[in-house]
Amino acid sequence: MHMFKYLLLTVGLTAMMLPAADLAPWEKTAPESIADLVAIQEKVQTMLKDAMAATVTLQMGGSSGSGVIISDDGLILTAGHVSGTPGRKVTVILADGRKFEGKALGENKADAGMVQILKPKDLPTSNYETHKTNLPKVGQWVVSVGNPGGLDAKRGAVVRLGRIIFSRPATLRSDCKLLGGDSGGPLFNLDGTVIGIHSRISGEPDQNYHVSMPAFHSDWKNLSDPSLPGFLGVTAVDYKKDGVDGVEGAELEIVRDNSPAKKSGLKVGDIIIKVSGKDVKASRDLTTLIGKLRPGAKTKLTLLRDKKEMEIEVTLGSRPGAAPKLPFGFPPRK
Amino acid sequence: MKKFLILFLVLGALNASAASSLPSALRTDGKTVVAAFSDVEKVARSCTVRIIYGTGYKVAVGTLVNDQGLVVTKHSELDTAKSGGTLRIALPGAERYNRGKIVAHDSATDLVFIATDLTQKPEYKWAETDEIAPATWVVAGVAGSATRPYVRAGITSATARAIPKAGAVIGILMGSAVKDKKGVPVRTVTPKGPSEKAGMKNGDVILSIEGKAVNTTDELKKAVGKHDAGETITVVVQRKDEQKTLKIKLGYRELVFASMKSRNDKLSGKVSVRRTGFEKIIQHEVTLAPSEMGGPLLDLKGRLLGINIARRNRVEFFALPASLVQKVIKAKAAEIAKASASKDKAE
Repeated sequence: MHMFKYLLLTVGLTAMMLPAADLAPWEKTAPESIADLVAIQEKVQTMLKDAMAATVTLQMGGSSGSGVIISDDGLILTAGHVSGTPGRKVTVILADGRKFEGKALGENKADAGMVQILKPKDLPTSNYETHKTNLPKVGQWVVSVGNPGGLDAKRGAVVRLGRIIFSRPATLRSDCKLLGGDSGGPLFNLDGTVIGIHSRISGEPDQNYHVSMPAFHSDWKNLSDPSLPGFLGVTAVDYKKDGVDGVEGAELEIVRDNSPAKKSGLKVGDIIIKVSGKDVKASRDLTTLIGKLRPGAKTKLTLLRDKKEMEIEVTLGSRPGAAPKLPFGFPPRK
Repeated sequence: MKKFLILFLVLGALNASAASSLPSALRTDGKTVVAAFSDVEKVARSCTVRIIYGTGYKVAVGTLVNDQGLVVTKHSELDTAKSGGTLRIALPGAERYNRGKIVAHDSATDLVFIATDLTQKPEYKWAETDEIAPATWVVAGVAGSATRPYVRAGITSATARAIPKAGAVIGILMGSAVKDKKGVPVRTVTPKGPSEKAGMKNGDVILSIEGKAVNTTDELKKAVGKHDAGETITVVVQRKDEQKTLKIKLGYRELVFASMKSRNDKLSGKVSVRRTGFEKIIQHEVTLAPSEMGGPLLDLKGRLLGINIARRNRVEFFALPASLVQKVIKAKAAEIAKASASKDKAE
């Protein structure tokens, strides 16, 4: 036992006293010399070509943001407030000048968003962090790419270097300088892997926020699959009163907090009898009918409350992933 | 042994809490990181001058460009009208200020040349190329002090390129020109705009711009449009029975008319009075105030890549490349020599 403790201590001390000389210049607490700075510069310039090629401008109506292509079939990571309402038309402009038509896929509360290029052809792509929960380390060097002020063909995307200031499950903060139009652009590590997406800019130029990759992974299906059903946020049971009033429907047993159902005023005990005029005879019908609708769809529910028939309009949402709510700070730009 | 283990665990906990947010000294522009640039800072200190000018001791930054005391800085930020062009110049650590005199300026690059008695030799070498790859470390010389560094660092952030001229205005709403009457009447002078600052009043009639008569709104627009923001033009107006000559420093349409200000401009704080109309610029991300233009932009080898010339917004900064600066120095050499000689005679 004594021996075991000793061993633990030795291992611990070794880890603590690891000489700085063994660390790569970009892994040090801070660069110590011009040589360290040169090494960081070379590392950045090596990953930059692919990173720039995969960074795109996204234009939706009059507004403009950035994004990054991560697959040959044209999947783009961006910010939720850039992609916006699922299904809307997006023009994707590549660094090489090519234009593609795209459409917005899903978005979530952490400001993660996705866009799909409709007819992908010979697309440049970037690696992204595929581990579902990995977060960058505080102090890690990062590279931001994006289009501050929107598309400027002669300028191209703008690159900035910074360090991670804090790293939380949904939100990263770095001292990369960002401005409007950068939103949705990629945050890379020095290996050229996307580790975040620019989300909110603060009043200080060098204190900006990025959506973390776990905020994408925990919600990937919902963000990437445009055929995913809309979300009401209730649990219902079959309602049948044999021979008394002949009513058949779906009785709400649970109405989830912050759900579209709750926001529209639905209550536990309500009996849903129609969705957009179509009969609901059992809880299964409610699931099926809601399942045919898209997030964002407005639908009319007919229900019985205290034996009185009434109608409630509800705007369906997306099924919330595990992404936590935004901790604090600046609201996403709409 | 047990004590040791406990101590270790406590230390571990301390480390973890310290790591939750990056201390400011370790941020990209933090003290510890900037210390790695100390070799370049030495070079910056050999050529970055502090310029005191105007009423109220305004501070500007300039670059020493030869060993005969010639200093350059950004023209449109150096508002010397009230002080009659008297400048005081010092290198870092100097015990006293030297007198400086404006000897030439170049409106194409917005550079102004100042002759001084400085005899120090700047330690940089001029860069031999303007084609600086994106993500190259750059170091801007600024007016530091015993407690604040003389440099700020960042990277080049986009391709070197030309920045076309953009919408300069004098800041008025024009009335309609009256037939057979000379000039263009001023209906409203924009509050805080260039014309108001120059003393224009509602009801003035603009007779000429830079010596050329203007009699229609189109002629007026054309005459102003030739110039870039930051340039000062001479405007003659009729006010009741007298004619007045005004010196108006042009501004950008989108900044003069507050309603046209973009969200990015609102977020960017003060930007340069002239940020467009450059033959070629190197773009970088080193945060500089408009008053910090005119200083050197150096690379890690201490080469002078260019002279900082504009804060476009809070993330985009421009420097005139070394070759362009050298070209202007050469073109202005005779004018500079002549003006410097007359200065010597006067003393």
